[in-house]
Amino acid sequence: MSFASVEFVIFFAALLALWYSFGGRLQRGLLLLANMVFYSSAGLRGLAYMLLTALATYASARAIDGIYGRSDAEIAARKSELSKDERKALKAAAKASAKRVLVLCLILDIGILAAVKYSRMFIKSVPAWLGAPLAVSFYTFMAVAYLVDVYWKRFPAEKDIVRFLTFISFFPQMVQGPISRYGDLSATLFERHGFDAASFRAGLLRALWGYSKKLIIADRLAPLIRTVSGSPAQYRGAYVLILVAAYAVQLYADFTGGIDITIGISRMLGIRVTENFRRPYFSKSTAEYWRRWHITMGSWFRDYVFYPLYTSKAVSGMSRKLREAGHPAAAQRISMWLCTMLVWALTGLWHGASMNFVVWGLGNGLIIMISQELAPAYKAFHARFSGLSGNTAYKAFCCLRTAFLMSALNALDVYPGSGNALAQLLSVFRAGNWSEAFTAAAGSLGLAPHDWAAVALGTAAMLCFSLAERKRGLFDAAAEKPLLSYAVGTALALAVLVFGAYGIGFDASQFIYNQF
Amino acid sequence: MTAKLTKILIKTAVFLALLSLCTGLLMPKYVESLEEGSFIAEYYREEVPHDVLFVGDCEAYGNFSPAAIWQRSGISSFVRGSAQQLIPQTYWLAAEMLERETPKLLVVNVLAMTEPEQTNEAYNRMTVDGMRLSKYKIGAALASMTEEESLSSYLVPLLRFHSRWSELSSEDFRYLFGKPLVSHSGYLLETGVKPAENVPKGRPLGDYSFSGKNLEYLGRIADLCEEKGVRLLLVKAPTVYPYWYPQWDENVKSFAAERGVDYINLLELSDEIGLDMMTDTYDAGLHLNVSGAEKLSFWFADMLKERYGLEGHAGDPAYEAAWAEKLGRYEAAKAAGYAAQGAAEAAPAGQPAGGKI
Repeated sequence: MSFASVEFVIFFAALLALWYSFGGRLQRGLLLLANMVFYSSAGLRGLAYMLLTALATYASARAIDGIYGRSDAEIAARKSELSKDERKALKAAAKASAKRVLVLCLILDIGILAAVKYSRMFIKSVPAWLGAPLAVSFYTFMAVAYLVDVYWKRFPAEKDIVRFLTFISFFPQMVQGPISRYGDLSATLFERHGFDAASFRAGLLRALWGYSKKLIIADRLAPLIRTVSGSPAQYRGAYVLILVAAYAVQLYADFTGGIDITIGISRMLGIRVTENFRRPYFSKSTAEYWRRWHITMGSWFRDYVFYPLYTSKAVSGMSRKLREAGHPAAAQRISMWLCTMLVWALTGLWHGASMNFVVWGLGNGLIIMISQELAPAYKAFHARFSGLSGNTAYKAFCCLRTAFLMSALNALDVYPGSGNALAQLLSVFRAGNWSEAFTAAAGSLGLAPHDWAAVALGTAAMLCFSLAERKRGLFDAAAEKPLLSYAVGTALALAVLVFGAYGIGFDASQFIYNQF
Repeated sequence: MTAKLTKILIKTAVFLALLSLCTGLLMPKYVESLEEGSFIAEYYREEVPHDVLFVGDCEAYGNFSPAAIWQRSGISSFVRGSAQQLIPQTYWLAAEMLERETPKLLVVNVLAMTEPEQTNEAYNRMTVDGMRLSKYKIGAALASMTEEESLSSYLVPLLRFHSRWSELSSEDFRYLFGKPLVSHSGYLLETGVKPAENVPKGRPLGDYSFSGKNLEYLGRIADLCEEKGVRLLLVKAPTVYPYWYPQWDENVKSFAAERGVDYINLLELSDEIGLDMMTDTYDAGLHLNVSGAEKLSFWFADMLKERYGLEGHAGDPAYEAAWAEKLGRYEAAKAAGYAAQGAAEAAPAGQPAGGKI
């Protein structure tokens, strides 16, 4: 059930009607039921995989909690008779037991993810039952984060299985994330929600804004992306630059639009979902970009892969040996490089089961590492030209440079084969077909002039919105004024219905991140 | 609470008004081109009841002229035809009409029995979009939708026609709030002549049977007529293309005999009707022109009186008034058609009528 379908609108309207009925007493079971209905609309096989991951994670977290609980109880009961070392030993034994449970469950959770998502990288004809279920990457990461947090004693394991399943399968996140943490989402997920008109309006406006981005801009650009990337031999040089720019807009509109819908509809239910974007194309460096784009994924890799790896015995031991051998600079750098590249290779792999994505991930890691290595040079440059860092034109240049770099790397996402993608990108530097490409773009690349007009107006609206949003939350501000929010909401709804690229004649794509 | 509810109602009403304005603007108007798309909805503008209702595909709206039938006999009739109207659609249209009125005779053209599925979404739209929202419309849509279609687009047509924003023409604005009648009681008046020369004979088919779905719905039409006390007459219009296979004719005869309903293959009566396919068709034998349609309709009017004992309404002021207006439009359109045709024939070869050099 796609967000952009009539079925979903009916499903959500029915849920809303029940949600705020009977004083909200139905909410607990209702949300889990809605999650199951939504998820099973994508197939019962997927539901089985999701439930397997969820139940294993729930049971393992309870087991870890139980181990810690019993250990703490024993220490408390024998406090007077145990020495400090004995208490330490008991705690260490409990930790070791908990770790065994953790590792077993991680093997299962990640094993399922690997089997359903990556087996096609190694097996030619994957049986149908091994196909990737809806949002498998998202809910697996949520489950892993939850389990590790319980192991790290950040919070106790959830005892109520209804609440846990509601968290793991929360349907607004089952399309393209974000990867919510239990600690963040549970704050509002389980409480009883009364109807708050202003919050409801803010959520509705945000969801409509998301639909506008997805249907008016992202899906309208889809034919151009397909046309140009589908015939790489025909469309080289300047065409590739057009593709890179168009895909940058499409990916942003598609992904942020989907997240706007997720956050918007959650808010209409009174539930707060973590933000996943903070105007990423206004980033002045790649590292900053990744702190603003798909924030929950970046922070997940940082917290659950990078830090544990960087502080692991193996990496620390390697650093120590290098330091002892008289290479202190290398000791710091090599462990950092190694961890960074590994994390980015995994980030790429998370996006898709192909070498393209691995190369894309490594490309990102490489740019970030080079930036880090050049940091002293930047510092010296800015010390020499001290006024530059505050200069608006220079800031704009940095933003454009970062946006271009990231968008160029994303070409790996649209061309089959990383070699092919890189060859296409390199062809831009030898392009002699600027006039031909821009003339063709006006009419023969899958987009008619009226499509361009819709995309241009939509993109301008997104840009203006991003600039205006820097100072205050526009949805909340509009929601404070009922008449204004009604007018904006009506305009957005009609704009989506009329100018949206959907229905017969449009090959509306799924949300792009849905494939990840 | 009341003030709050009033505000919600006003806001909902304004939104729905804007939505219907957008829908009205973006829906195809079917006035200056593809007029056939208007025919189904024009039934709702009929005032007087009808003695005879015709339903079916283009052979219904292109060959039977209710104005000519009235002129000849004072019998009131209407054709609810549409291009490529499938038999299931015919059933739902007939069911809707028989809910509103009880004619003496329902005439169903049977050419569509040979069409198992819809081949083009546009035909479905021209039939189903013209129906008012009801169980009949939903039934017609569900029974005929192609794979790419969805019921929601029939309930909210904006979902289908929204993309027309980039191709709006002056016609869309001109007929935003009201459309003139395009048909003549459901009849498409054409005055041109294109002889039916060298009509190809049908090539042998592997299977001459009708689809189970079509037979089921034709059976439902027969049941409906029985239930409503309306006589059912199946006809095959007397146009020569597409080829009407004898095996198909036998299939219809078998059905008619089994269900005890009448069937007339008008192709076999062309001479008796007086049709000349060198002069009475405007598209080489697919449909009759007005000359042919009037010959057929006169014959049909006589047959209605003789065979079914139908009586005309001449002298009834309500009928007279309604039909006087219709006849006025009909004759004017006919004269205009002939005039345009004359101008076209007088124009030099390759030069469109009224064209400027």
